[in-house]
Amino acid sequence: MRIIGLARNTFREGVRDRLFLMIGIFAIAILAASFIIGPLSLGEQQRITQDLGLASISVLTFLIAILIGTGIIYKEIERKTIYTVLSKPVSRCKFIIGKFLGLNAIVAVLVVGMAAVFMIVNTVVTRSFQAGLLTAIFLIWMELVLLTALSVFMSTLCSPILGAIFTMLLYVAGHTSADLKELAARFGSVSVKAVAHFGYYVLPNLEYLNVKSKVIHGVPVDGTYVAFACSYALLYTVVFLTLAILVFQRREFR
Amino acid sequence: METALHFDQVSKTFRSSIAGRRLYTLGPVSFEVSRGEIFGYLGPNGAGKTTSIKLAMGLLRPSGGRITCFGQPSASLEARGRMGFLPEHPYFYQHLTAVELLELCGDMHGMDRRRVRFKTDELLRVTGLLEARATRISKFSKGMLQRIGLAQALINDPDIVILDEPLSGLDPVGRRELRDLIRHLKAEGKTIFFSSHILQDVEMICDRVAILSNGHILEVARVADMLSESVSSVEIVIEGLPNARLRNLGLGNVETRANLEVVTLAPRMGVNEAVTRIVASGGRVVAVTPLRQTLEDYFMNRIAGMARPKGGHQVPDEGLQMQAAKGASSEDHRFSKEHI
Repeated sequence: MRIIGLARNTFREGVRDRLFLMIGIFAIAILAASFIIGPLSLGEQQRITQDLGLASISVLTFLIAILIGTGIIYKEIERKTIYTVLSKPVSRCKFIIGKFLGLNAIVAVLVVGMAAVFMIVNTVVTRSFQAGLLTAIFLIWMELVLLTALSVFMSTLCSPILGAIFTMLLYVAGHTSADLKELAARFGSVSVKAVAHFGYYVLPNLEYLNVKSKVIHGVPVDGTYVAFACSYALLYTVVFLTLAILVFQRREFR
Repeated sequence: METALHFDQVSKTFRSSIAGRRLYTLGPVSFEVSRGEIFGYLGPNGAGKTTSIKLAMGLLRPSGGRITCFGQPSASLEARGRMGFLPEHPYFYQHLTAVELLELCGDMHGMDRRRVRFKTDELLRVTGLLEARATRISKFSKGMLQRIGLAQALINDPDIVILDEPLSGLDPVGRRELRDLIRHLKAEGKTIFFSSHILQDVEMICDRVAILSNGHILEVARVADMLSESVSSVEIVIEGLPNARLRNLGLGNVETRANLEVVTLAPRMGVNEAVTRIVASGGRVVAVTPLRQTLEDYFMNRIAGMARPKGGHQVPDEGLQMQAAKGASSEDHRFSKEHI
């Protein structure tokens, strides 16, 4: 009940934020634009529509997750609304989980809304319903779950701007994880190797959750892989949330 | 009587994050608040009132000692379930309406929806916010914020209500309404612990007060005892004797007010002896009035000489803006007859 109440409040706050509305409209507009841009690319209409659509869903929802997520705890402390919440019989652990779930509800609404528009546009363009695209969207959503947990963790540590910078850096590092290993092999410097190895072995490899190219090119993605990718994302989600809770448990509110 | 809130040798030290230098220390502070009483927590800015309250609510962790609420650690979920808290300068979610905020607070207490709705209606009525039930909190005035703050503190029907500067920012009507509400809560058997800088109000409603200065408790006493101890003089109103003859009696300072002679007795002059002399000289005693200091004067005298440490306390506690310190301790305040 307490977690649901907190999640509902976070969701309500996000939905009533004009920023959310603006990005939502912008996202739908971009998806609709692919309907116009697609025909301009000779013979590649289907691929362009799908590329643009999936990239929009991925990037814009990530933007929302970062913009709301990295300030989600910090703002509660800064605006002192935390006094009202923590003076009630709500554990700090439940508070973090409630905020995380609320943020994910916002992201889920956005993903579902964009996915619906995207699938309609794609079905009209290709004249066929390609269910395989839903696998890519589902894994985008899983990636967002992981990234929202990361942004909530950042929010317990630092200001929204710093949190957004770190989250973006980790996002980039996560998508270039394989390059980090290559980097470690090429450089002789011990410190560069250590950083590159840390990046490769500790940070999440977000490319595991990126099947966009495969799906667009008709390469099948089997259920076992999807289950693995989901478990991988959820494992990191639990790790980031646990870290967020541990940091938040120690916080004092002057 | 059962103890509602117990500070037992509670201390708190803040250190700078870089050098580890000690910035501020509270306590050790010890006092008990009994069930069913209205307890005032007084002290100048930086004395440690808000810090103490945050410690009680679990927003800060004590460096030493223990705070219990009805026998349980005050920061525990069980204790917080029995508490209602109004922070200083209440901050609430701006995107919510009054009803939504109270529903959220009810959820956080684990209350069922039916009970939350019932309590919401009741509290909006009691705090005079029924008309504003669907208004967003971002549009609330300061007085309305204080009221919705009180409503959210009472949503769980708490056994103890902790209010940090609840009277600040309210107009005289609002202050009176809040005083009445606090008395009403006491009549319902609730314990009220509050800090305030408006000492007249504290004097009017508190059973006991603690005076805090420089992070230490100077005194915990019943308000009535503080005031009875502080009789500064006695005033005798007389008719039938001219001013000059009264002066010759050597009773004290004599002045004429509204065609009556008023003698303020000298410190060692007994009331019986003075009255006997006046009557023997042909005067008629109209009134004998002991002059008591107000709580504000008592408070100012008590903390006088408690010099602040160099640099002052650096932890923000915007609590006490002493009216007296601003020059509001006028003759009218000093010799108020309200409590005689």
